[in-house]
Amino acid sequence: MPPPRKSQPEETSPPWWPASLEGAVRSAQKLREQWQYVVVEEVVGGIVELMRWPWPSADRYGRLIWEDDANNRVMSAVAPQRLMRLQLYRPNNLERRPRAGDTFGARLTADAGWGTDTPVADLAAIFPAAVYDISADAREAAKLAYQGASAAVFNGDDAEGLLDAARRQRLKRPKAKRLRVAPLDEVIDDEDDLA
Amino acid sequence: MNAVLQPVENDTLAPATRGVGSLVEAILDDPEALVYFLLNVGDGDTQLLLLPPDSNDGVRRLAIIDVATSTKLPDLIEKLHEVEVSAGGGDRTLIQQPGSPGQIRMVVATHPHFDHIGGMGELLSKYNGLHNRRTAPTTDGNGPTGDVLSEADKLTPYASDACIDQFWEPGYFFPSASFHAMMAELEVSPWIRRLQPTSGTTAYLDSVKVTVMGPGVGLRSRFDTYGVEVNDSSLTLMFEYPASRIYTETDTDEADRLNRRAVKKRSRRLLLGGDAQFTSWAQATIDFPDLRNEQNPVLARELQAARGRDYLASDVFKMSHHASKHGINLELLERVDAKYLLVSSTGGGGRYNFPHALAMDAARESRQATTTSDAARLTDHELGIHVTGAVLDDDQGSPTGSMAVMVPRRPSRAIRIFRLMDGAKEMIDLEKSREVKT
Repeated sequence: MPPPRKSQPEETSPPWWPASLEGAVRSAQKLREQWQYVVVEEVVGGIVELMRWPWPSADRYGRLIWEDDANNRVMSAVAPQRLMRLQLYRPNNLERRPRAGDTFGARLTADAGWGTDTPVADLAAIFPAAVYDISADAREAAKLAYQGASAAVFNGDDAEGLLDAARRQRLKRPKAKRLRVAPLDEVIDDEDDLA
Repeated sequence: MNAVLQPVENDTLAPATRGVGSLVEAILDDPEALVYFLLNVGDGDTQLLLLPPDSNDGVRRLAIIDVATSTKLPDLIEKLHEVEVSAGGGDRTLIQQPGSPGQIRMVVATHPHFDHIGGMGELLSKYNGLHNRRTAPTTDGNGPTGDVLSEADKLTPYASDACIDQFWEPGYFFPSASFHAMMAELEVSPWIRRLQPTSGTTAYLDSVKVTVMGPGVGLRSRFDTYGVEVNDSSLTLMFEYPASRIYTETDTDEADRLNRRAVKKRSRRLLLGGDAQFTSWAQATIDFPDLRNEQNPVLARELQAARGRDYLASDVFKMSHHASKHGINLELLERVDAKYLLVSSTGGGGRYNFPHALAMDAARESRQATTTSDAARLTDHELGIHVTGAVLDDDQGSPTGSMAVMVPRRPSRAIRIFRLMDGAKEMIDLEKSREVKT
């Protein structure tokens, strides 16, 4: 039987606190009020579109939920893919190109650099404070949402052994490191391709 | 307006008519027609198919493909419901009350990008909220609470009187808030039949046939590795109307006996390209061999004899990915060979400056090869190319806006296109519709 739908997070819903952010944020209140959920929405040619939503909550059924007005509060920013690689991915040993679905937890208390169609010239403009790569957790949450919506979700009361193994696996995962946005004057642009 | 697009000449559109508007007049004049709406929502997709009257009960139902924003489509559906039709001596409305059981035959989320599913969670919630098994009435008589499952629901989660019958998506999970909202709504709607189809999947919506052209199985089986670009996960769909041309005729010997005859007249096809890019289309050309240029000419001839038209050939093509330079190429356009090419994009500007010059040039070249002939290029209107974000050549640069394509059942009638003259953030006023002159 599916859980009843709630139109928006209850006041007591805790913020989603992915394993990779444990230790990075001190309080649920700060996570909810100061952090944003940032997704690489689309990569078109040499341009990366980032979208930021308010930080999600976790409902009592283990799903990520956003407040009803989240779509009104979503903001986007545009960055050259090259800049993402040089200022964010490469300095932090993220050995991949920016790709749609990459997700970051970012402390953003202002809107500067966001809400414009003009590509930023310096990533520090849109990530002025702490930023963490939470892609693995976000993708897992999306997969759980997808599979939970598509197939039965089982009661875990009689599957303690299976759950215990899953918990131990989760503990072994590396914690997310705070990413450093390399200042432009430190960037060595030795890439030939401009894509 | 970007330099790629020229303003639409005012005299290429017939004047708006008084009263209900030219589109509604045309629908009432050809009540069997399939009507396809491509809404102006900027760089995004919201599409509605007003299906022909069902052969079982005469009711027009709907199919929805992508919902970029939350209010424009439900508003259009409400307005279609307000259209009064005189039939059989009685008055009724063009479509049933929004939310009626089985009204929406299918909802398709072509792929999980915000500009395609941004309004999907809200749409599902809205029409599920109208499902009478979904909610229990409150004891104070104030209507459904919206959050309590009825006893009937608990007993019969697959009750068939839901408004939305089927939901199709490619099976690509994506970590955005819109995706989570869509999945949360689907999770509590077990009565909606779910499908993650791949190329070749076929469904019949009474007299309309739907064939999935992409993604191919080869792409689908790579989704979990994130080795597939999200756009290439797009469900690309071919709608064909009528699905077949089988007619009855009275037996010459027994007047109360009917025989069935197949009539060889071409059906009309709409190819809706989602945001599919090169990889997806490349796979489609493998899954659906070219009946003209197949390297094995004997096989090509046999397939053509059996199939008739090329698999990808269509009359109307909603070009992929808002006519980005990655969504389309000339070879594909030549194979599709559509008389009308529709683009859902702003008229330039935005972060990507869609539609892209390369895609628009390919579209124009596919309709009129001038590169070698040196002939003067015809206008987009003359070539059958229409962009939702294009504006008129009047002083105000008025929007030409959303499109409605009327696809008649009868082969003798031509496809008709209407512009609904709405801005990207405006609701549609059907009375303002203007027909594209042909």
